[in-house]
Amino acid sequence: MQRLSRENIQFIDNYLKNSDVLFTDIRVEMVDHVASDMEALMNEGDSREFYYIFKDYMIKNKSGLLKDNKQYYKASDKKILRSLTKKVCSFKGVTLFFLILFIFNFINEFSFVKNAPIVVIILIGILYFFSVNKNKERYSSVERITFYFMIIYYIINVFKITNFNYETVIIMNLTRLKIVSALIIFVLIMLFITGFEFKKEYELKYK
Amino acid sequence: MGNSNLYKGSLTTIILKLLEEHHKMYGYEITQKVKELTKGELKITEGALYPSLHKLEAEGLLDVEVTKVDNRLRKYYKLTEQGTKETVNKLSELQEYIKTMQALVNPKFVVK
Repeated sequence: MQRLSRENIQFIDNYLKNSDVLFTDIRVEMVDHVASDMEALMNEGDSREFYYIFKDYMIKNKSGLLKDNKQYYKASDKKILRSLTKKVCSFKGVTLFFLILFIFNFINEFSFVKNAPIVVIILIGILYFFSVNKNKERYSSVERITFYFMIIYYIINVFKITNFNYETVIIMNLTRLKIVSALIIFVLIMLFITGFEFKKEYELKYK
Repeated sequence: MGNSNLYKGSLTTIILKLLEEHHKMYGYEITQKVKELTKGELKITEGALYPSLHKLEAEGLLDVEVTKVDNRLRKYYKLTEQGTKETVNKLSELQEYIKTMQALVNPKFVVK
């Protein structure tokens, strides 16, 4: 049985990385697929050098192979929402929400309650960015979470920029504003925890 | 293969069934097994297989195990408890579908 060398595998990995397969969890599987297929060809009698087999393989299969790379976010979205829902509905999640609400209960400054979510999203965003980029490996679901941070950020900004702002929506009611702000902060914290857990799980699997 | 569109809707069921029988499998192994079982009639492309595997994993039906094999990492898939239950449902759905199609295309031959 012929097997590809470590250098050959590294070559395939680099090639896919340069073809925009940036996420380790997706690339690992593609590398194994390409390598397994190439080894099968070699064992069936293709005696050419690695480079020539690889070149022909990629000409034939590259578009089909890279199709998955463009679809990763669909599975990631499902994974994120499933994990997030589980956390939000858990005892710890519900407790955290009421704890945030309880803290807001002591704050009666309208502008503070109104601006709290934007401050929290900036802080969490920066913290998430640095913790995610700490090592060079990138993982699909971990990075997909930044998309959700962006959505929340834009929602907050749309409320702030247009006339359809917090005050209008909640008709100047501080209690309602506290609930909305607490809910946004709660979701942000849950997203951060979800992303962090994904990162740990990926690092453990793909070490 | 005759018409790959006819098989598309059954891909997840095929994957679940294979994993039910083989405990754990990796992507390439699944494509080869299907090719072997169907005598080359059905070839699952990587562009269809991996998104389906990832979707099943995201839905909690499959669990992933990563192992180092032959100088590279290999991602094995296996059924979760929920996945095992879902396999039974999907298989009975598929059998019902086959029966219905049989009744439609060949009414004289009724599968009981």
